[in-house]
Amino acid sequence: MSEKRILYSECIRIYEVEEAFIDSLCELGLIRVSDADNRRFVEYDELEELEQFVRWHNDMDINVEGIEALYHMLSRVKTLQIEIENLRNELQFYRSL
Amino acid sequence: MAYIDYYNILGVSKNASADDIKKAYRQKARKLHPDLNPNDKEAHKKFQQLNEANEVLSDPEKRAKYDKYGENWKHGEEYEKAQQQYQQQQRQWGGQQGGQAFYTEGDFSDADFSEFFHSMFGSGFSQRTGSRSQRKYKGGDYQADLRLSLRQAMHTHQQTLNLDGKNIRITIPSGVADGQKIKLSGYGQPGVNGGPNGDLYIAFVVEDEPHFKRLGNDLYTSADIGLYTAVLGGEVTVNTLDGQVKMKVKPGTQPESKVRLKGKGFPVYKKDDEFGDLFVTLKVNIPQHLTSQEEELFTQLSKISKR
Repeated sequence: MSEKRILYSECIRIYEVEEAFIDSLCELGLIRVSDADNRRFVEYDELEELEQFVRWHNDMDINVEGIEALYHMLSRVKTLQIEIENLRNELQFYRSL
Repeated sequence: MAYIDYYNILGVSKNASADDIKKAYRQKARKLHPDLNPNDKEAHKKFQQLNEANEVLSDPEKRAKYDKYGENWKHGEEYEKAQQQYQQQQRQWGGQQGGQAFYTEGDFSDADFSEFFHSMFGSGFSQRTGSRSQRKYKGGDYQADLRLSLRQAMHTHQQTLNLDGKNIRITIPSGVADGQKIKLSGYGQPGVNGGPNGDLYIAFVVEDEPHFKRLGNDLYTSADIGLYTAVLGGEVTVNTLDGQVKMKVKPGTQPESKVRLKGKGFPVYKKDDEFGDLFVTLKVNIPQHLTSQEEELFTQLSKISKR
């Protein structure tokens, strides 16, 4: 985990989202938060995904449950794309024999 | 520069309510959003058009201007200029204060908007009171290909890329695969309204070498051996990507048989001291242009083996 982190409250302010929205993402395990000195932080490593979830929420009006489903689907798509790429390379190899 | 029918892009009628427009935008965004269509340039382009249509039709002021001039927007522009000149003259002559200019230029600039949009509305968004004008946007991502030879991909090395006049030094770990992508955070297009920069994605194109083919972490090559070595056994020198190795050939080796040299293949990505295997296909060279003595001996051999 990175040393860099941002205050939870600061994160809510910057991304202009409701606290309940990020709370729900945390509860679903989509965003990791850490506690220290009675304060809550979001790791910098998490921000890219958080930004993505905020975009989905704002641009497409997708609620947290939808975001969770979409996240898992897209992860699956990415895995399959890598698999397709590997199979394509393998096919190219056998074709070139 | 062509007129753009924003109503058609959003799929709504000209008397659609603000709520209809919002619904239509979100419905289409769910199909075309770049996050859901990675690497799909067509979807990306359509999403930009959708954004532009929404930008205009969801803003009452912009929509009013767009509706007022419609396809005659070019003439509208001339009319506006004339109006502004007239109002300026009125002020200079002490007449009554005329109407305000349609928009004020802000510092928002977005290359993703069409020429038509910029021509009609300028590049300013500062009059927007909705959340969009305040919202921070991450800059767009850049995609780039980086060609590597098989030998280059075998060793961890550094390369300097030039992006918009800026040199970026990257370390390429040994074992990268063809088609593999790495992300360089913050090297994409600048963010909007103070949003973070986009990212740079580099896709590696690893080319095969004439005598080596790669499959995962394994390498495939071939080696020629003489007939006598194939029959009686012996040694053969095999080229690897890292130099030459000597390999034992078993007596009675068949043509096209494969021998595996463990750990002589490609380095495993991000795993130090782990390598794939090298598979060597043995090609047996059949002697040609035999001397009469050789021919005689082969004939004898043939007779012996028939017994």
